[in-house]
Amino acid sequence: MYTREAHPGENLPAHATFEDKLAAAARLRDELGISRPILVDDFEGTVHLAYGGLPNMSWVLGRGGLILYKAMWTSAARIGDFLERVQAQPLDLRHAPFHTEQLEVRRRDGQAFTRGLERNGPRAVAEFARAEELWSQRARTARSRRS
Amino acid sequence: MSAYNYENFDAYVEAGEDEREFGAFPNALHAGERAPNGELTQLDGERVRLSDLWRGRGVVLEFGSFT
Repeated sequence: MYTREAHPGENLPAHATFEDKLAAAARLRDELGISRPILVDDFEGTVHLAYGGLPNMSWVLGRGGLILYKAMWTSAARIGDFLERVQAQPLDLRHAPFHTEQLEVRRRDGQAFTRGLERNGPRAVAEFARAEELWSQRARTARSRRS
Repeated sequence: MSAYNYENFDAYVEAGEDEREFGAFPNALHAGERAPNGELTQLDGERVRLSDLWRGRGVVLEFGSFT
Protein backbone atom coordinates (compact mmCIF):
# COMPACT_ATOMS: atom_id res chain seq x y z
CA MET A 1 0.00 0.00 0.00
CA TYR A 2 1.41 3.36 -1.02
CA THR A 3 1.18 5.91 1.81
CA ARG A 4 2.53 9.43 2.37
CA GLU A 5 6.06 10.20 1.24
CA ALA A 6 8.08 9.70 4.43
CA HIS A 7 11.03 11.89 3.35
CA PRO A 8 9.80 14.61 0.99
CA GLY A 9 12.44 16.46 -1.02
CA GLU A 10 12.95 18.68 -4.04
CA ASN A 11 12.33 15.83 -6.48
CA LEU A 12 9.37 14.40 -4.61
CA PRO A 13 7.53 16.88 -2.39
CA ALA A 14 4.70 15.92 -0.06
CA HIS A 15 1.55 15.04 -1.98
CA ALA A 16 -0.65 18.09 -2.50
CA THR A 17 -3.60 16.20 -4.00
CA PHE A 18 -4.82 12.63 -4.38
CA GLU A 19 -3.84 12.77 -8.06
CA ASP A 20 -0.25 13.59 -6.98
CA LYS A 21 -0.28 10.58 -4.73
CA LEU A 22 -1.60 8.23 -7.43
CA ALA A 23 1.03 9.51 -9.88
CA ALA A 24 3.82 9.05 -7.29
CA ALA A 25 2.69 5.46 -6.71
CA ALA A 26 2.91 4.76 -10.46
CA ARG A 27 6.43 6.27 -10.48
CA LEU A 28 7.38 4.04 -7.57
CA ARG A 29 6.24 0.98 -9.52
CA ASP A 30 8.10 2.05 -12.66
CA GLU A 31 11.34 3.28 -11.07
CA LEU A 32 11.78 0.38 -8.67
CA GLY A 33 10.24 -2.23 -10.95
CA ILE A 34 7.67 -3.40 -8.43
CA SER A 35 5.59 -6.28 -9.71
CA ARG A 36 3.30 -6.71 -6.70
CA PRO A 37 -0.06 -4.95 -6.99
CA ILE A 38 0.15 -1.45 -5.47
CA LEU A 39 -2.90 -0.04 -3.73
CA VAL A 40 -3.09 3.66 -2.94
CA ASP A 41 -4.65 5.00 0.23
CA ASP A 42 -6.80 8.12 0.18
CA PHE A 43 -5.19 11.56 0.46
CA GLU A 44 -5.68 11.77 4.24
CA GLY A 45 -4.20 8.33 4.88
CA THR A 46 -7.37 6.84 6.37
CA VAL A 47 -6.35 3.19 6.04
CA HIS A 48 -2.68 3.86 6.78
CA LEU A 49 -3.57 5.60 10.06
CA ALA A 50 -6.06 2.85 10.96
CA TYR A 51 -3.11 0.43 10.89
CA GLY A 52 -0.86 2.74 12.93
CA GLY A 53 0.58 5.12 10.34
CA LEU A 54 4.14 3.76 10.39
CA PRO A 55 6.24 4.04 7.23
CA ASN A 56 7.12 0.43 6.44
CA MET A 57 4.86 -1.89 8.41
CA SER A 58 3.90 -5.34 7.26
CA TRP A 59 0.80 -7.29 8.15
CA VAL A 60 -0.32 -10.80 7.28
CA LEU A 61 -4.09 -11.11 7.28
CA GLY A 62 -5.86 -14.44 7.13
CA ARG A 63 -9.07 -15.16 5.31
CA GLY A 64 -11.79 -12.87 6.65
CA GLY A 65 -9.23 -10.27 7.79
CA LEU A 66 -7.93 -12.04 10.90
CA ILE A 67 -4.59 -10.48 11.92
CA LEU A 68 -1.95 -13.25 11.93
CA TYR A 69 1.24 -11.16 11.94
CA LYS A 70 2.01 -7.49 12.54
CA ALA A 71 5.44 -5.94 12.30
CA MET A 72 6.60 -2.38 12.80
CA TRP A 73 9.11 -2.78 9.97
CA THR A 74 9.08 -5.06 6.95
CA SER A 75 11.44 -8.01 6.74
CA ALA A 76 10.85 -10.19 3.71
CA ALA A 77 12.81 -13.00 5.38
CA ARG A 78 10.63 -12.89 8.52
CA ILE A 79 7.41 -12.84 6.52
CA GLY A 80 8.66 -15.70 4.36
CA ASP A 81 9.45 -17.80 7.43
CA PHE A 82 6.10 -16.97 8.95
CA LEU A 83 4.10 -17.82 5.82
CA GLU A 84 5.89 -21.14 5.51
CA ARG A 85 4.93 -22.04 9.08
CA VAL A 86 1.33 -20.91 8.62
CA GLN A 87 0.96 -22.96 5.47
CA ALA A 88 2.53 -26.02 7.07
CA GLN A 89 0.16 -25.86 10.06
CA PRO A 90 -3.40 -25.06 9.07
CA LEU A 91 -5.80 -24.04 11.82
CA ASP A 92 -7.96 -27.08 12.45
CA LEU A 93 -8.98 -29.14 15.46
CA ARG A 94 -5.48 -30.57 15.76
CA HIS A 95 -3.80 -27.14 15.78
CA ALA A 96 -4.45 -24.26 18.16
CA PRO A 97 -3.12 -20.70 17.73
CA PHE A 98 -0.98 -19.04 20.39
CA HIS A 99 0.17 -15.45 20.73
CA THR A 100 3.85 -14.44 20.52
CA GLU A 101 5.64 -11.12 20.83
CA GLN A 102 9.29 -10.38 20.13
CA LEU A 103 11.72 -7.60 19.33
CA GLU A 104 13.63 -7.90 16.08
CA VAL A 105 16.66 -5.91 14.95
CA ARG A 106 17.14 -4.12 11.64
CA ARG A 107 19.77 -1.92 10.05
CA ARG A 108 18.83 1.76 10.06
CA ASP A 109 21.01 2.89 7.21
CA GLY A 110 20.56 0.42 4.39
CA GLN A 111 21.99 1.40 1.02
CA ALA A 112 18.57 1.24 -0.61
CA PHE A 113 17.26 3.69 2.00
CA THR A 114 20.14 6.11 1.38
CA ARG A 115 19.56 5.89 -2.37
CA GLY A 116 15.89 6.67 -1.76
CA LEU A 117 16.74 9.79 0.26
CA GLU A 118 19.14 10.97 -2.45
CA ARG A 119 16.57 10.29 -5.10
CA ASN A 120 14.01 12.46 -3.26
CA GLY A 121 16.51 15.33 -3.10
CA PRO A 122 19.14 17.11 -0.97
CA ARG A 123 16.48 18.37 1.43
CA ALA A 124 15.42 14.79 2.22
CA VAL A 125 19.08 13.92 2.98
CA ALA A 126 19.62 17.02 5.16
CA GLU A 127 16.37 16.60 7.09
CA PHE A 128 17.15 12.96 7.83
CA ALA A 129 20.61 13.99 9.12
CA ARG A 130 18.94 16.54 11.40
CA ALA A 131 16.44 13.89 12.59
CA GLU A 132 19.40 11.64 13.48
CA GLU A 133 20.75 14.46 15.68
CA LEU A 134 17.34 14.76 17.34
CA TRP A 135 17.29 10.98 17.98
CA SER A 136 20.78 11.21 19.52
CA GLN A 137 19.63 14.03 21.81
CA ARG A 138 16.63 11.96 22.86
CA ALA A 139 18.85 8.98 23.61
CA ARG A 140 21.19 11.17 25.71
CA THR A 141 18.23 12.65 27.61
CA ALA A 142 16.83 9.16 28.27
CA ARG A 143 20.23 7.96 29.52
CA SER A 144 20.65 10.92 31.85
CA ARG A 145 17.15 10.33 33.28
CA ARG A 146 18.07 6.73 34.03
CA SER A 147 21.36 7.59 35.77
CA MET B 1 -0.92 20.48 2.75
CA SER B 2 -2.21 18.53 5.71
CA ALA B 3 -0.64 17.35 8.95
CA TYR B 4 -0.71 13.81 7.57
CA ASN B 5 1.15 14.75 4.38
CA TYR B 6 3.96 16.57 6.19
CA GLU B 7 6.53 18.45 4.13
CA ASN B 8 9.55 18.30 6.49
CA PHE B 9 10.71 15.05 8.06
CA ASP B 10 12.90 16.78 10.68
CA ALA B 11 9.94 18.91 11.83
CA TYR B 12 7.83 15.73 12.06
CA VAL B 13 10.49 14.21 14.35
CA GLU B 14 11.02 17.43 16.31
CA ALA B 15 7.27 17.53 17.06
CA GLY B 16 7.56 14.03 18.53
CA GLU B 17 5.15 12.53 16.00
CA ASP B 18 7.47 9.61 15.29
CA GLU B 19 7.73 8.76 19.00
CA ARG B 20 3.97 8.97 19.35
CA GLU B 21 3.22 6.73 16.35
CA PHE B 22 5.95 4.17 17.03
CA GLY B 23 5.06 4.16 20.74
CA ALA B 24 1.39 3.48 20.04
CA PHE B 25 1.99 0.65 17.55
CA PRO B 26 2.66 -2.21 20.02
CA ASN B 27 -0.49 -1.34 22.01
CA ALA B 28 -3.08 -1.30 19.25
CA LEU B 29 -4.46 -3.96 16.90
CA HIS B 30 -3.17 -7.35 17.87
CA ALA B 31 -2.76 -10.74 16.24
CA GLY B 32 -6.02 -12.60 16.66
CA GLU B 33 -8.12 -9.46 16.14
CA ARG B 34 -9.94 -8.34 13.01
CA ALA B 35 -8.00 -6.00 10.74
CA PRO B 36 -9.47 -2.60 9.82
CA ASN B 37 -11.31 -2.59 6.51
CA GLY B 38 -11.04 0.28 4.07
CA GLU B 39 -11.21 1.38 0.46
CA LEU B 40 -8.07 1.78 -1.66
CA THR B 41 -7.36 2.70 -5.26
CA GLN B 42 -5.50 0.54 -7.76
CA LEU B 43 -3.08 2.22 -10.15
CA ASP B 44 -5.64 1.83 -12.95
CA GLY B 45 -8.05 3.94 -10.90
CA GLU B 46 -10.33 1.05 -9.84
CA ARG B 47 -11.40 1.06 -6.20
CA VAL B 48 -11.01 -2.04 -4.08
CA ARG B 49 -11.97 -2.81 -0.49
CA LEU B 50 -9.57 -4.80 1.69
CA SER B 51 -12.46 -7.12 2.53
CA ASP B 52 -12.71 -8.01 -1.19
CA LEU B 53 -9.07 -9.11 -1.06
CA TRP B 54 -9.24 -11.17 2.13
CA ARG B 55 -12.63 -12.76 1.38
CA GLY B 56 -11.29 -15.92 -0.22
CA ARG B 57 -7.61 -15.96 0.72
CA GLY B 58 -4.97 -14.43 2.96
CA VAL B 59 -3.31 -11.09 2.24
CA VAL B 60 0.22 -9.80 2.88
CA LEU B 61 0.02 -6.04 3.27
CA GLU B 62 3.20 -3.96 3.18
CA PHE B 63 3.02 -0.19 3.66
CA GLY B 64 5.58 2.04 2.02
CA SER B 65 6.71 4.98 -0.09
CA PHE B 66 9.88 5.82 -2.06
CA THR B 67 11.84 5.90 1.20
